[in-house]
Parts: sequence; C-alpha cells; structure tokens
Amino acid sequence: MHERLLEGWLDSAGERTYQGPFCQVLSAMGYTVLHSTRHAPIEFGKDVIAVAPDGVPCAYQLKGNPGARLTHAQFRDIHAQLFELATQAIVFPGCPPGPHRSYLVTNGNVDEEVQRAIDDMNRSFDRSGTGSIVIISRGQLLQWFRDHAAEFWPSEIPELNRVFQLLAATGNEQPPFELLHEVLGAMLHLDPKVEESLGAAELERRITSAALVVAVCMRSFSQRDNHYAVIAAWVLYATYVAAACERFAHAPDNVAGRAVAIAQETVLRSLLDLAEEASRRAHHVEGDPLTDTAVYRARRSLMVGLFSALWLWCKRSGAWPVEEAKEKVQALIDAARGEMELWGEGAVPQFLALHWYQAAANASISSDLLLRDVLRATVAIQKDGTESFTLPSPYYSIEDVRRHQLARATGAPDPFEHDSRRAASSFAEPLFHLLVRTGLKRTCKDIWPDLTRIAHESFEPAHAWGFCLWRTATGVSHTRILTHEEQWSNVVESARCIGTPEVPTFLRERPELLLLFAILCPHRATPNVVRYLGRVFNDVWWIAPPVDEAPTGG
Amino acid sequence: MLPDYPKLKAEIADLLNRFANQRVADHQGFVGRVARHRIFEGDSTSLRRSTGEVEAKGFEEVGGLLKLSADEIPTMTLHDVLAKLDAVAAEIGEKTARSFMADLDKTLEAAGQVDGAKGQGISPQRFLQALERIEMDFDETGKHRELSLVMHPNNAAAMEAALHQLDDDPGLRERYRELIERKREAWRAREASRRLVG
Repeated sequence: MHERLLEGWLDSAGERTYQGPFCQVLSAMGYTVLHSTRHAPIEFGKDVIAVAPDGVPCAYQLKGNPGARLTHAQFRDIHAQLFELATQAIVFPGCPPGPHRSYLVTNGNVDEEVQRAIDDMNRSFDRSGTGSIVIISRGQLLQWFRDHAAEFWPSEIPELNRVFQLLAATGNEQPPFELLHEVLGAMLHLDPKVEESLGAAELERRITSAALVVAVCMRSFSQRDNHYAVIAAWVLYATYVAAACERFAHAPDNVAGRAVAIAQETVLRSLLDLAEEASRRAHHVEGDPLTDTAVYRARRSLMVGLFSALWLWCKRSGAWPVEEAKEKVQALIDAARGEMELWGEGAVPQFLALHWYQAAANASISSDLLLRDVLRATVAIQKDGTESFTLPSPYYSIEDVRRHQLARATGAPDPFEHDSRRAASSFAEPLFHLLVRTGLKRTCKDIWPDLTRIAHESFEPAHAWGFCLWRTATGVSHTRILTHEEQWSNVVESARCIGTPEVPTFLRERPELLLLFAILCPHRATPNVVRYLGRVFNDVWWIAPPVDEAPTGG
Repeated sequence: MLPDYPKLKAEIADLLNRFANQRVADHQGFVGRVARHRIFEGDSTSLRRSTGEVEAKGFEEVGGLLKLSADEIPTMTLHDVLAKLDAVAAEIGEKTARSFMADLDKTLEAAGQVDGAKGQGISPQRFLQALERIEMDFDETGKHRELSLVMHPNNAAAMEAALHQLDDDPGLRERYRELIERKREAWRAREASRRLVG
C-alpha cells in the first residue's frame, strides 16, 4: 500500500515539494548534502549540491513534472540551465575542487526526444572534457523512495488510519499537530510508557523513513501551498528526531544531523515562500471574508511571529538567501504588527519574536515598550462575575479561544468547559525577567505587585526528550506563587539565568528551530526557554553577566 | 453485521458524556463548585507557595462501574440510561469529593489550621474563633470576598441559629465587626507588602 501512496504523492508533487525528501534519500545513501535551496543566488542551474560517498561533488537540477512527461518543448526552455549545470564549476564552501557529476532530476517520465537531446549534449561535453548529464526520472526516484520508506512505513491499522486522515485533509487547515505527533511518535518509538531501546543504525533508517512519511502525509497541505502547515510539519519532524536521539542516547549530530539540516532547509525555504507569497498579495484575507474577521488579526500575529523568526534566523546565519527577501520581510512585519492580537498566551511567542526582531533591527526603546505591554497584558486580572482570570493558557489555540467565545451563541461544546478560568500565567515571570535585563527598574517595580497576585505555571517533562514532543504523558505541572516582597537583587539573579535543563542540547544549539517550535507549540516556551532565547536574540543586557543554569526554586 | 448507526450514536454519546459530567459536579456538592484546572500533559503536579513550601502530588484515578446486559437493552428507555449514568456519576462525585476533602485536611493539618471542637457544639463564639484563623481577601470597595461553609447536613440547623445569634446580639455583632476590620487591615498590609525593594 505504501508504494501506491508514494506513487500518488510523487505524481502530484512539484519540485519544491519533493526536493526535501530527495535530499533526505541522498543523505541516507551516504551523500553529504551541502546546499539545497531554490532561493540562493549561486544556483547556476544547481538546486542541490552534494558530495557523493566517493568524494566527488554532484550537482542536481530538479524539475517538477507531476503525472506528466518532460517534453522537448520544456527541454528547450531549460537548455541553458542544463548547460550551466554541467559546465559551471561548483563553488561552494565545503565542496571539494575538481570536476563534478551533473544530474537532471524529474518526477515525471522523460520524452525520448529529450533523452536524445541530452545524449547529444553529453557527446559535445565529452569532446570538451566536461562530465555528462545523467537523468534521474520518476522510476528511479520512486525506487529510491520505496527502498527508504518501506521498512518502517506505518502498517498497523491505527497508524494507517492516522496517515489516511492526514491524506484526506483539505490542506487549508491548521497544522495537524496531534496526528503528526502520533505518526512520528510511533515511527520513532517515543511513547514514554513503553521501555524500549533502538540501535543507531535502525534509528537512522527510521529517521529517513519518517521524513518520507511526513512528506507524503503533508501532500494536501503542500498542494494548497499551505506554507505554515509545511513549516510546522518539518519543525516537528526535526524536534521528534532530536527526541529520539536523546531518548536512545545516540549522538544526534551523527545520527540525525544531516536529516535535521535538510528539514531546516525545507523550513527556511517554506518561510521564504510564505514571505514571497504574502508580499505579492494585495491583502491577507483568506477564504470567506465575512467569517475571516474572526481570525484575521490572529493570522496577522502569526505572520509577524513567523517573519520575525525568519529575519532573526537569517541575521544569525550572517546572510539572506536573497537580499530582496530581507526588505520584503521587514515591510511585511511593519505592515502587520499594528494589527496583531494577543488572543491568549498562545500568541505570546509571536509577540516575543517581534520584540527580538525590533531589538535587533531598530535598537530603539520601542522593543522594550512592547515587552512591557505584553507583560502587563499577561498579569492583568479581568473579572467576569465572581471569576477572576488572565489570558487563556498557552495550551489553547486561537480556534479554541474563538469556539469558547462563541459557545453560547453556537451551542457547540465549549473547549474551556472543564477548565475554570483563573488568575495564572505561563509567561508573566519570564517576560518580567526579560524586562529586568533591560534595566527598566522603575517599570519592574510598578509591575511586581500584579505579578504576585497571579499563579505562575510551567511544565517540566520527566525526560528532556519529552520536551521535544507536542505532548508528553510524563512530567510535572508546576504552579508557583511569588513572595509578596522581593529584593531587586534576587530577581536580577533569576533574570541572569539562561540554563535550559529541560531542553536537549541538540535543540538548544539550534535556537532558530527552538524559536519556531515555541511559536508552534507555545506551551514549550517554558520560562527557561524564554530566558535563553532572550539572551540569544537580544543583545540588550543591563545586569550582571548571564549564568548558564536555571534559577533556584523556579 | 447489522447497521450500527455510528454517527447518531456518537452524537448521543457526546450528550450522555456531558450529562454525566454535569451530574458528577452536582453530586460533588460544594467541591463541584470549586474552580477546576485542566492539566494537558504530564502525570503529576507541584505547588510552590510563597513561603517556599512545595506540595507535590500525583494523579489519582477515580472511576465508577456501569453494568449493562444485552437483556436489558430492548426495554430500556432514555430515562433508564440516564438513571444508570447518574448512579455512576454519584459514585464518582462522592469519591472525588472525599478525595478533595482528604487532601484539604492533610494540607490544613500540616499548616496547623485544624481546630477541633472537642465535643462543643456550634456557637457564634466558635464561628468567630474559626474566622480568626483564616486569611480574608477584600475587593477594591472594601467588601470581603464571599466565604463558603462546608458542614455535615446534621449541623446545618445549629449553624443557621449561630449565624442568626451573631446578627441579633449587639455584643457579638460588634465582635464580628471588629474582626472584619482587623482582617481588612491585615489585607491592606498584605497588599502594601507586594513590592520589589532595593
């Protein structure tokens, strides 16, 4: 059955969709993928650059011919690119010098005339001493995907059921976190209630297999260009892979480093695609405009969060894949930030990303004022009859919040039904610590009384690998009440802490991924994670130097 | 197989679940009105008080048994189904209420907040004595937040009489007024102590 599913997916995928899985398979075959993007200026007809196991550099030009053939007319259009592919030397950091192998990859079949034309090209290359172009078409690709997916493809009925649910999605929905959690958790053996062991070689094969399953399962989302869902799927893939390495005590850089790097490339590419699409559009209303009013501002908040994360990612990496993208992203953030909505604590990481973007891009007090305002919103106690409450917990999505707000009118079940609203926050204390670092002592003193009136919540998974999951069955839900009177020096000591004992090192060393994970799963933006990311993404630091440990008693 | 009508049954099951949940809360009595907090993941909780004390707790599974034989089905009405569910809800409600009270007892015992009546009956004096021991919160207009009294039903009449006496007797009324004023002052002092110093 998996063969049919793979076939169906490959026959519907554009080159951007199958590029990531293609790289995963190359990596599994022992190739070192050096470059995989469609946005970099060094392309010269080369979508993917890899080093073969025998040390020879390889360049790949990918074409999408889903369910079709690469025709002679199309060949004429790409003739110049193919010429560049074969004749232009690969100049890329880490790529060994010398001649390279060239490949034209298509997920369709190739017309006989095209094969003949490429043979002709190759003959002329031979005469000039240039290596020839090899065609990798649908049959070969499918065989590779089958070989690497087959062994661990979900086969039990409940697992298959989840795969089918994902395949049946219309593709314009929110990311299917729960289903992805179940599919990836089962494939990578991440059930904390089951004691297991997994060797490095098997885990590595499972990681490749899981990548192909994710690609196939996200087919509907990719077809609809639902970049956000695609980003979510690959971020989750990366964190679940990190979890598996941590759980089974295998060096993640060796076992999963390449797979995660490829997933990150896919995420980066999808973020750039999203920015490209957003900047092309006259407005950001989706679907029925009348009902879109209920979610429009939440969408704007999400966009700002994602684009801020993209901006911070590119800034840290030292370069933008394309320089124009930077200006587009900045313009998108500037246009949308005034329309953001803090609909619950689930949106706080989006505001945090904006805060760090502003701090890095403008270096003005406006980023600190934004932080102060978000902090005030998290501690502001509101009243409804006898109930006192703060913003909804980060476990609730915008859909939950809206369904709750409309429950009386719609008569539908209220997602908050079994959860009394209460004066508590998961973000107030870490946001306060970020504010302490800015040196705005007077403001901190003003906010402190409100901070002591609410409970402070956090979740600590039983194992660090549990942190990487959307949900984990083992761990402690902490609630903390602050002392009424506190010394400034004590809060400074806590604010200095950037330790994240609950986060696997592999994930901590990838703060861009951790930030995106926090935006997607806001309940994973624990106080330690917020303090840590605050240090990574914001240079403003007016207190004693940071200490790499978690606060005591926190 | 014969038709199962799964969609309709899922809708009815949803309704029955909501009925059962509501009845559990009803059977819990006072405990059913206490704020509930949903825990989305993990298997334990920990509460760190402002004093630094930490109270850790695992989850307790509470359930009830509903027996339904195939013979009963042909003659069962919706009313019968609800009655069976209600019986289970009563069992769960009682178990959770008892568990809640037992936990509360443990916490209060540890905090030295248990004042045994030592055979004395309920009186206005004992009521005032009990109030002395608790921390009271007030709203911005100075009114104290509503208090709940939990007692055995056998004591309800005596409690009502004591409260009337507290209202009618000028001396007791004055003691009550003074007590509330002291509590209000203590609350003001507590509120004023919420500060960041240094």
